[in-house]
Amino acid sequence: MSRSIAPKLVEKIKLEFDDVILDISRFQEQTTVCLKAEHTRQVCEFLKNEKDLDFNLLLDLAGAHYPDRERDFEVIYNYYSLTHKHFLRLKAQIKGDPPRVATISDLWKAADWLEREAYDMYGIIFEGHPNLKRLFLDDSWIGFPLRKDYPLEGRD
Amino acid sequence: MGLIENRFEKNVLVTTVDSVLNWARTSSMWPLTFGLACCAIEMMATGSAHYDLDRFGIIFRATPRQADIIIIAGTVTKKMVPPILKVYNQMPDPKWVVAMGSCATTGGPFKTYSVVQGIDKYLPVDVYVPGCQPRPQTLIASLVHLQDKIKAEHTIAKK
Repeated sequence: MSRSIAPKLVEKIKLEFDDVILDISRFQEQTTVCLKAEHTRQVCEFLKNEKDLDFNLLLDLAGAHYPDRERDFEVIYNYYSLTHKHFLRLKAQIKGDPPRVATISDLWKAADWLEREAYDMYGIIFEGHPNLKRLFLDDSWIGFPLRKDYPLEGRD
Repeated sequence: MGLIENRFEKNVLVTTVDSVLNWARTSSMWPLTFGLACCAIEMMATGSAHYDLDRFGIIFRATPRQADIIIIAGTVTKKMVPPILKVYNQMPDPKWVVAMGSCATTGGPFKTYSVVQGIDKYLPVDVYVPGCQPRPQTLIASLVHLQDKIKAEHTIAKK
């Protein structure tokens, strides 16, 4: 059902950004590209503007926290191309405190609130975002609940 | 009620007036529609044709100004508490609170950072309805229980 991107197009991405990509994997017809978060913006622009790839639909943007890793935060982008009908997943691995990555909300409007959600739950700062405020929690809330070190019952 | 509330000794006349007041209050309990989550569906089912609430005189009112009871049906998140308090304060006296379902009673299965562990942390609850969700019969039984509670009140006679 999920049509994965053709291997030669994956090669194209790999050639263009060889020094930045950490890993490319394919599992059950789904291709995932892991890269260093500092270069997210260039890779995303390439994915959108390159005619062969043409990823014009951002399906989802999610945050993740892996406290045991050096690059402990991650932003996961799920892309789809309406013209070529193929999918791709991008995982941008972030290190730093607070974790920062460039915004893509000017390229894909959907990213606006999705990045706000990732900020609200993980504290990942999207640089260049027009309105990076909390989305679900109260504006006065302190802390980022979906981080692994935040207790389920909350802190009071 | 202010001037005559709780002023007179319990005598035959005053207790009769009290029972008339209680009869009026129990026979037309008008709840405020406050369905938050799944319990709201059961509340709607209770109000619908099969398990009719209208036969008890219970008509759901959308505005707090015309409501007697507020049925908190569903999970209460911390973000929702200010609106609940605002709406509760807008209800005129006498008013009662029914906490419907596990979430409103004690937070339900959600012992998390965003869920209030029971609306009785913020509102004075009169009747707790257990269940997840409580069946319509349970909700009706709890409203009848609330009626019994109201019938035992003395408004004019001293307590």
